[in-house]
Amino acid sequence: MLALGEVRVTGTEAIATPISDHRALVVDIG
Amino acid sequence: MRLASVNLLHGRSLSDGQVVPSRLADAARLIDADVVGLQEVDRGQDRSGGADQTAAFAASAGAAHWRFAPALWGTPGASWRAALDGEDLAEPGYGIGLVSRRPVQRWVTVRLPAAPVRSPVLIPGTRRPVWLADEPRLGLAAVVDGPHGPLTVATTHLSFVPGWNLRQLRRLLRALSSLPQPVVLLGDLNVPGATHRVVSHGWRPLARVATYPSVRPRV
Repeated sequence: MLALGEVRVTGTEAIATPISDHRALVVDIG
Repeated sequence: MRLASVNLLHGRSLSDGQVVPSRLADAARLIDADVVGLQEVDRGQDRSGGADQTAAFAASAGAAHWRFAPALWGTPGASWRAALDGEDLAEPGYGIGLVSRRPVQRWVTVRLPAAPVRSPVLIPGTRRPVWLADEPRLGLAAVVDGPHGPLTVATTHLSFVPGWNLRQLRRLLRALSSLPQPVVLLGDLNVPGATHRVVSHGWRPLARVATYPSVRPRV
C-alpha cells in the first residue's frame, strides 16, 4: 500500500481467508 | 476507517482447488473492511460459475458501492482481448474491483497496457520458469466520502514483468496524484521490497506485512 498526503495508520494485519494464495492486507487509518 | 487489499485468485481455494461461492462470502466477512481493493477478479467466467465476484464480495461485505473494472474480455491465459474504457459487455471478464461501504463521489480508471514481450515466470510447483505473455492491466480509483472529508482509494494489479511494472506504477501514480488527497493505493504491485521508490517519489508505504504465500507468508 502506498499513500500520498496525510494518512495516519493505527494498525495493520494480514488475514488468512478460505480462498486464494494471498492473505488480505488490512490497514486501519485514523 | 479500515482499508484492505486482497488478491482473490478468482475465488479458488488452495485446499482443494475449488471455487465455492460461500468461501468468497466468508472472506469478505472476515476482512470486514470499509473499502476493499480486489485483484484477480472474475465476472461471467466458467471457472467461477459465471459469478460477478465483485458484486458478490460487496454484498457479503455490506458495501453498497462497488465497481468491477475489466482488464480483458475473454479467458485469461487463453483467448482474450484488452478491455477499453466505457465498455461493459455481456462477455466473460477478468480484472480488478473495488467495494466501498462509504459513498463514492467519482470513479476513475487508468489503463496500463501489457508488456510487449514475453517474460520468464516461475510457477509454484515447477522447477523451470515458463515464458508467459503479459496481459493488460489497469488502476481503479474511487473518490470516497471519508469520515474527515473526501479521500481517494485506488487498486491495481501490475505486470509480473520486471521494469514494465515500475513503468506502469509511475503512470498510475501520476494519474492518481491529480485526484483528491489523501490518496491510498491498495493492490498487488508485483514489485519486490522497496523497489517502488524508483518511481514513487512523494508517496510512502503504509504497511510492511507479508501476505504471500498465504500459508506461510514471506513477501
